[in-house]
Amino acid sequence: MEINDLPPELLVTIFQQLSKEDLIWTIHNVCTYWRHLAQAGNLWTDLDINRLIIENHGKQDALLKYLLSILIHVQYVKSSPDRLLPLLIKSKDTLRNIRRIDLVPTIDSFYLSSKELFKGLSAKCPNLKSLHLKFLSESLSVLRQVFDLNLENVTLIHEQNIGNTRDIISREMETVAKLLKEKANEIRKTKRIELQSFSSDFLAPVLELNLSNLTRLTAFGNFIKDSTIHTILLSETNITELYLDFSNITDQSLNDIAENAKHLKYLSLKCCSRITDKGVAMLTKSCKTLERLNIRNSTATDSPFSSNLSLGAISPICTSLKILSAQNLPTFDIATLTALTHSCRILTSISFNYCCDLSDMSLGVIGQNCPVLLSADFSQCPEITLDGVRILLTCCLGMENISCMVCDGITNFCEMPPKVTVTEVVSHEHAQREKDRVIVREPDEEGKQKYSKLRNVNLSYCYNLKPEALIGISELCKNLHMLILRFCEGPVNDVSVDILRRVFTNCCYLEYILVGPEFNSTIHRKDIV
Amino acid sequence: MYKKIVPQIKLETYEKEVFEIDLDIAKKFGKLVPVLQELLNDDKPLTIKTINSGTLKKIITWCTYHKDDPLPPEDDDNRMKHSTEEVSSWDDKFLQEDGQAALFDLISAAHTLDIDGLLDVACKVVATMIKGKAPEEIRKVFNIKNDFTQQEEDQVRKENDWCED
Repeated sequence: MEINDLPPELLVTIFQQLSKEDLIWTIHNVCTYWRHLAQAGNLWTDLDINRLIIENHGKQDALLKYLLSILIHVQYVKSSPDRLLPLLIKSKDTLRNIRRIDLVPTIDSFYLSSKELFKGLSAKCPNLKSLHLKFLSESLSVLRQVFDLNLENVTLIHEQNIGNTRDIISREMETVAKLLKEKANEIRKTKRIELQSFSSDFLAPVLELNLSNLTRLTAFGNFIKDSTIHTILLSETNITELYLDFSNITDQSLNDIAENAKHLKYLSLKCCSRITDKGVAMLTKSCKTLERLNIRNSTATDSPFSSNLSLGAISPICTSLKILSAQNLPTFDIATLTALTHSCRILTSISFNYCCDLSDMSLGVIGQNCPVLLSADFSQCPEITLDGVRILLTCCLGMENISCMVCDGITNFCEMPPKVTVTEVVSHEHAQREKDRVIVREPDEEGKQKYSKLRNVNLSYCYNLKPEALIGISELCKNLHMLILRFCEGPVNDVSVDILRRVFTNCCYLEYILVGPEFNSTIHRKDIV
Repeated sequence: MYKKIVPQIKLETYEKEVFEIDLDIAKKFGKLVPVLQELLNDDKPLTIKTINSGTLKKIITWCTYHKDDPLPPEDDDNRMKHSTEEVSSWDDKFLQEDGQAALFDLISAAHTLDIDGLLDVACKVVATMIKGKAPEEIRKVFNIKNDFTQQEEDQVRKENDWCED
C-alpha cells in the first residue's frame, strides 16, 4: 500500500500532527491531491494570525492568499484588529464557522479596534458567539459595537494607558455609562461575561444592568464592590461560576451569594483581602452545589491583596467540594484538616501552596480521608518530607499528579524505608477525642505498586536532591511520562550518564527529563540510551 | 491437567487464515468490542477482507505489548494532552521495521478495527517522516507523482523566492 492509497480522512489525521507552516508551505506543494486535503476543514479549526504573520515574515502575500482560502473553515481566530480587518474585507465568503475571536494586540500593531472592523464582523460572521477584546481608554466607543454583535460570551480587558489625567477618565466614565445604558437590552442577552480592569471603574456599569441570563461572571479588579454583587444577585440567578479575584468585596457579598446563587458550582475568591473566615464559613454552609473553591492568598508579605483566611473557614458541611485551592494560609492545624477532609470525601484535586504548617501527618490525614484524590500540590511547604508523600501515595490509588516544588524536606526520593508505614487517623470524632493520636499500622506490601500509577513527577527547586534519587524514582514509578527537575541545583547536577541510562531503562514511557531553569533544557532518551 | 479457558474471538483475514485472539487483547478494538463479544461463542470467524495476515499479526503483537496501558481519557482536555505525547522508542522501532507499505497497511487496519492508540502513534510516525522536508523530498520518500501544471509550478517557485529574501 502506498501513502495515497490511504482513505483521505486518514491522510488528514496524519496532517493534523503537522504545524500550520508545514501545511501551507509543504503539503500544499506536494501534489494536487495533497493540496486539496491541506485545506480540509478539521485542519483549520483554530488560527493564530498574529503568530503566523510574525513567524513567516517576508512571504506575507502568499500567506494572506492562503489564509483567505481556508478562513471559511476556521472556528476560532486569534488576531490583532489590524490584521483581521483586511482578511474580513477581502473574504468573499460568509464565515459561518467562526464562533470565537480573540482580538489580541501585539507590540508592533496598534490597539485600536475600528468601526470598520465591527462592521465587518457583523456582516461576515453571523455565528460569532464569543469575543475577547483588550482595549484602551481611547477606544471606549467600540464598546457600543461589541454589544451589537449578539454575543453569548464577552471578555473585556481594559488596559491603562499612560498619560490620561483623572479628569479625562472621569469624563469618559460618563460616556461609557451612558452608552452601556443604551445597549442594556443587548448586554442582557450575554450568558458569560469577563471583565478586567485594575485602574478604573469603566466597566462597573455593565454589571448594573440586571443581567438575568448570566451563567458565568469573571470580574477581576477593585471596581467590584459589594453594591455590584448585590445588584447582580438581587433575585435568584442561574449563575454557576463566579470568579471575583482581586475584588473589593466583603462578607456582605458572600452573604448575597449564599442567599441567591443557589446553583453555584465554581467560586474563586483569590486575593480578596476584605473577606473573613466568617463569610466563607457561612457561604460554604449554605452552598450545597459548590464543587470548586479557590481561597488563595497573596504570597507577598505587604501586598494590599492579603487576607487572613484560614482553613477552618470552610464548613465541613460542604460535601460537594471536588477541587480546593488554598495558598499561604497562616494556620493549618491538623484537627481542622481532619474535620474538613473527613466530610469532603470526593475531593479530587487539592493545592496547599506556601502552607508552612502542613506536615507529613497532614498528608496522612488527607490520604486516609480522600481516597479519590487525583492531583495534589504541596509546593513551598517546607515541613513535608518524602515519608508524607509516600503515605499519601499509598492511600490514594488513582493519584496522577503530585507537585512538591521548593520543598526543603525532600532530599532523596529513593530513601524507601524497609517497611512502608501507613499512618491512619481512625476517625474524625476519635481523632478529636484522642487529641490527634495517630496509629501506625504494619506495612502494606502493595504500597510500592501504587507509585506505578504516577505519570508526572515535578520536583523542581528541590535543592538537596541526590543523583541516586533519580534511580529510586524510576524504580518506583514505572509508568512515568514526565519528570521535571527544574532549578534543582546541587547534588543532582552531577548525575552521571550511567544513572540516566538506568532511569530511562526503568521507565519505558519516559522520553525526556526537564532540567535547568529553561524549559528547553532537556535530557533526551535518544541521547542517553 | 487443567487448561485455563480464555475467552477468544476468531478473525479471518484476506488470505482466509483464521486467527484466535484473546478477548483481553481484542478489548483494544474500540467500537468493535460489542460486535466481537456477540461472536464470542460462535464457531464462525468474523471475516475482515481488507486486512492481511501479516498486518493482523503485527496488530496482535502491538495490542499484547500495550495490554496494560491505561485507557485513554474520556474528556476532551485530557485527550488533547494524550495526543501530544511523544511516541515511545519501542513503538517507533516496531512501526518502522517492516517498511512503508506495511506501515500504511497497519494504519488502514487500525482504522478499520478502531484501535485509537495504534492509529495515533502510527500517524505520528508518518508525520515525523514528513516534518522538515521540502515538497520534492516528500515526493521522493513516498513515491508521489508531481502532477502540477507548469503554471502552478511557477507560482510555487515565485512564493519560495520570497522566503529566501
